[in-house]
Amino acid sequence: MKNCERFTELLSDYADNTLAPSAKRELDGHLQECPECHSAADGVINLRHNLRRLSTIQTSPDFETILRTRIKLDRRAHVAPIWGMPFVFPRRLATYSATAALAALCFFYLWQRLSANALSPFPAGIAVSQMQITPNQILPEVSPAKILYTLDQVTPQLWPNFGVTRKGTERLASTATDSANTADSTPSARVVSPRPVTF
Amino acid sequence: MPEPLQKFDKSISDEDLIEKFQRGDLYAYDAIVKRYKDQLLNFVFRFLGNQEEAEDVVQETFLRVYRKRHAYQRVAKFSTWIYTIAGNLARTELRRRNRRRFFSLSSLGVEDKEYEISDEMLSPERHTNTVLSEEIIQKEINRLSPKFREVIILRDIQELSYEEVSKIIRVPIGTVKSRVNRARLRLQGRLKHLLEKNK
Repeated sequence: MKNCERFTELLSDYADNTLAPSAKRELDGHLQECPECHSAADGVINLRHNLRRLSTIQTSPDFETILRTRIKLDRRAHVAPIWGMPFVFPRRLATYSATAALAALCFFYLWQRLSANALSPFPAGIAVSQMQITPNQILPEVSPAKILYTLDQVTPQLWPNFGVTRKGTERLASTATDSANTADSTPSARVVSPRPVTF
Repeated sequence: MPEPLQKFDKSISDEDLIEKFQRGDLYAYDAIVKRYKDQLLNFVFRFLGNQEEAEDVVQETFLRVYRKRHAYQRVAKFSTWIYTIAGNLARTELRRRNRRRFFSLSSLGVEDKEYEISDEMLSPERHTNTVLSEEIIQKEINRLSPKFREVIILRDIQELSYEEVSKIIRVPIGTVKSRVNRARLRLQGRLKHLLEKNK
């Protein structure tokens, strides 16, 4: 059995006819004694013969036309400039676009945050909203939010409450007092900025 | 000045052709395509078992040759270089196909169906014995693992030397011989009945 294993390793060379004469003689002797190895050797020789006889297939008639088109497209893709820059592969282009979009989004978000903080008299992190109010409307004092009003939207009687001494249209910030502490329904708006508006 | 295609007869070596192509002669490229398209198609087809996929891989191979023509250096045989490209692409395609099969439940068993031998196929009216044998042989080749499949195709179907196979798949010549031997023994074991009938 151990001998069979050793001889099996030589079967391929035997089929290729590349065995050294001494090894070939030895193997021939073994094959005469061992029917299993003899059958395997026959099988390998036969298999080799059958594999060589396998029919060949041919490329489709339009193979070369398709290839030429692909080359043409490929060449164009590598030459065509986009905004003066050499073309990048579509997959890379998608990655670059996604990165650029993400960067733009981050930049826009940060810019919004920074500009809001710069304009707002309130500490960062406090939401500031703008609301439309009509003349003579009672200003809400219950809202915890800090609200920006334009002067022309506030009734003149309430101007002093906003620290306004002269006519103007400049924006003032106002905040409502905490609703939980105040049950008083008198319209009032507390001035956040103690400085009067100058024109 | 490029030479017309007719001038590139078989007396011109592959290495001369690729050199001409490297210098810009597109007729030389056409001659290379004509020389290798069917050889490569048969190699890739036996490896993948699907003609359409094989043709795609061969197209991609020639496209790579076109793009990377300057990467070829005359120290190696051109046939080794182009077979290496085709083999790498075929292996990639096989991995991709396995991934697709892994993720798609519906495709399970498709490959088996492709080579299933129905009663109808067995009828002599529809298929000759040769076709049937080839189907069975191809099915058994596909059942081999890729590393065995590749060497047996290159050695026994493409009839390349052990040395060339070794260079193409980049493994030592001893390993190639051992793989070829094991692949042959495995195939002959599975195809024993068919081989005895075809004797």
